[in-house]
Amino acid sequence: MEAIEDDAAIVAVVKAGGESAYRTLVERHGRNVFRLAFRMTQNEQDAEDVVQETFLRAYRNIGSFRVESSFGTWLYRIAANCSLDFVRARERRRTNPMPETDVFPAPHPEPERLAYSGELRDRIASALGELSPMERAAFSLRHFDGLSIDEISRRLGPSGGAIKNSIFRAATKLRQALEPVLSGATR
Amino acid sequence: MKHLKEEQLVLHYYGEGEDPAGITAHLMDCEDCRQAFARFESVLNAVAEEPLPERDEAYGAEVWRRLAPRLPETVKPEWSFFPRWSWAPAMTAAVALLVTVAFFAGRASNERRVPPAVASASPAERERVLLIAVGDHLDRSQVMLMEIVNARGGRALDMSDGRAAAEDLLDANRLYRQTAASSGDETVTSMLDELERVLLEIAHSPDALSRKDLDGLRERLEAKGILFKVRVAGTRIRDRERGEASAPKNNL
Repeated sequence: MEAIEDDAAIVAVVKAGGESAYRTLVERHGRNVFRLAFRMTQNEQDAEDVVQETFLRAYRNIGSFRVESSFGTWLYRIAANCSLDFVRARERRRTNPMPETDVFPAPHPEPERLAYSGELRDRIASALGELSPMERAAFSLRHFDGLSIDEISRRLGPSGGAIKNSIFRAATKLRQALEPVLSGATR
Repeated sequence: MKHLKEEQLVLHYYGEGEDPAGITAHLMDCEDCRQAFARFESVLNAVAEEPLPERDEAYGAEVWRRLAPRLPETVKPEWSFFPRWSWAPAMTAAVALLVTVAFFAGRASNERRVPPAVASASPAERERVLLIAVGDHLDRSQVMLMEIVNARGGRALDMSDGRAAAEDLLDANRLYRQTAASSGDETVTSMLDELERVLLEIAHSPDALSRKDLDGLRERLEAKGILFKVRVAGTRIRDRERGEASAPKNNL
């Protein structure tokens, strides 16, 4: 749960020129920003860059933050926009690397399940990599974090209807990519 | 029988669909829809673990280490006499009020009922916010006193901005002193008490200080050693703030 009033007090100190107070906000929200950035960029280094850019943008624009809002939600929106900018720039450069499957190594794979679980894991990573950044973010926040569609809408910006569509498209793409592997395993 | 749309099946899986009872009833009656739902269910259940690189508790500190050197370039205002206050009149006192209210609200909530999210912040976190705020207050006070001590020129010194700054700091100082006293921190209380008297004198100075008046003010400031005391107290507070992050303390 976010300590909203506490964040608001710190933001007020930062607004008054207390740069060092910003450290508390960075330490408190850094990991969540990274998680969202990684989900949207699917690249660890890009996610790190997004984290830095997000906190820079937030700092530059902290004067426009309204104290009655949630700082975390405001920051998430900035992170989502930063991530989209990074992904679009990467696509323009056409140097978009495939998701690094060795980022998610199985720590102790059992020999008899190695082939199937390895293929499934690769397919999942690959299928998630094929989603658009918004589909990936909306799906991940719903599927992995269990956030409601309303909450996802508040954090990412698009309407609830648009978030529903993103989740539906993501689920459909995942089904198309994974069904052959799953049905093969049950034969 | 009208079949369910795939979108309805996905939303139903996540418990976000409209008329969940109706959809459940339909799934019991309709073999086609039941199979379609089972296919989605099978796939989504398989995507059980989030493929996400781990970041530990120290990650935020690492982000800050890389971020901090870049921050001053983005928002640091141009230098001017009494630079911090011209754009934020009365902000300092408002911040002090907000921080102290949050501090005491959190304490009260621990003793009695537990209202909103103030209570969700731990005592250590509230102490840390207060330490940060007092540290910043002392930094500002130090900057203002240095501006006065180092003011140059043979003409009278315009004190209108400085006086407003001192009034602003004075209000904040009272709140922090009361908070420190309530916390039982005699050292900080005593230092803030001394600072308050200096701020009071500056806040009540005339619009323009003659060379002679300015020299007199400087002599009084130097005799009290207030600038040195504020600097030392600020450093100690910063040290405690750093210590608070790893080993929370009870007092201010």
